Amino acid sequence: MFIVTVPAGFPSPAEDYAEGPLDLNRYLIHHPAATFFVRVKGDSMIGAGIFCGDLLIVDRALMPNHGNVVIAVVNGDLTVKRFHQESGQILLMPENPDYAPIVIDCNTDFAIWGVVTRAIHFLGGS
Amino acid sequence: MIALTDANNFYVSCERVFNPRLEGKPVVVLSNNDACVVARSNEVKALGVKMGTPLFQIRSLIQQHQVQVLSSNYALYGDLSRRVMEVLGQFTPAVEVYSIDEAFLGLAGQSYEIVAHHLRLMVKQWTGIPVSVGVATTKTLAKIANHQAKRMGGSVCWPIQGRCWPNCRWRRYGALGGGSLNDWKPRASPLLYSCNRLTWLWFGSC
Repeated sequence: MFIVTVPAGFPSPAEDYAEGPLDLNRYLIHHPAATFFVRVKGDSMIGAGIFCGDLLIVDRALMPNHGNVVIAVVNGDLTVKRFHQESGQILLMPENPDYAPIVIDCNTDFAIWGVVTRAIHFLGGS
Repeated sequence: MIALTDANNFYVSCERVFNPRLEGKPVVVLSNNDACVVARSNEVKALGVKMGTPLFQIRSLIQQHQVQVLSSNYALYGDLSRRVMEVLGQFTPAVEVYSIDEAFLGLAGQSYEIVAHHLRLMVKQWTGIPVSVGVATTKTLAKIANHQAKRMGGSVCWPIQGRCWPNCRWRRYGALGGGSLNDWKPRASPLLYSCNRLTWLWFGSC
């Protein structure tokens, strides 16, 4: 940002209140080293406002809590679902009635890849 | 104390972050134009494939063991390297980036066993990259400690607190042996190949 230093006219009244432009990276990303963007394929999470083609902001630094939307690894595949953990039972819940919950048992190769913090949805316009 | 953190099979680990199906499978990453092997998963190392082997020499091995063969993606490796270094920077301001997957860290006045442990966990969680950590009093010794950490799959700190330092030092160098020297310091090996324990000691003081 350019700060006026030579008084050649009436100084801008906004001069003393100068701020940088809003930086979406800083506004939306709290752990830059641990944050990844993921493109959504499929419609299993439309009830959570996550649609095919959306961009997800995934923060790997966060610990997954019950109710978070997460990227999980299930038997080698990455999937986005809502993380449910109740009395020792882990479920990955879709948000579309056409899909069944994924039950995680001891035979499932399972890991949480990261916690989804935002979904960026394109609304048209260009 | 000086810690050397080194990513395990870095290019392969980068590929596995975004393709978890490669986990536990033999994977190689090739050089530009798919000419030679530049990264090997542990499964491939166990098959005896050496660094830099031309692809055509291992065609049958690849078929036989269903080895996953990938072209290199340096943009991806560079990005993950930057992330790993950023995480390391949270532990100490003294980070000296040594290569795309290695960095020396100064750990003054810190409990380095605990730091090494946390560092591995945090880099793995934040970036998905597994690293080995070797801690010692000099950079050269940290490199050797890291080499040992790689074989054990974790972190190694020298000297182990509460033990007699000179005696341990003799034994540790003896345990490395002359042959394994080739693995981690090829350019020094003509000088040291016929090494006895005295040369190791000299080398350790570098």
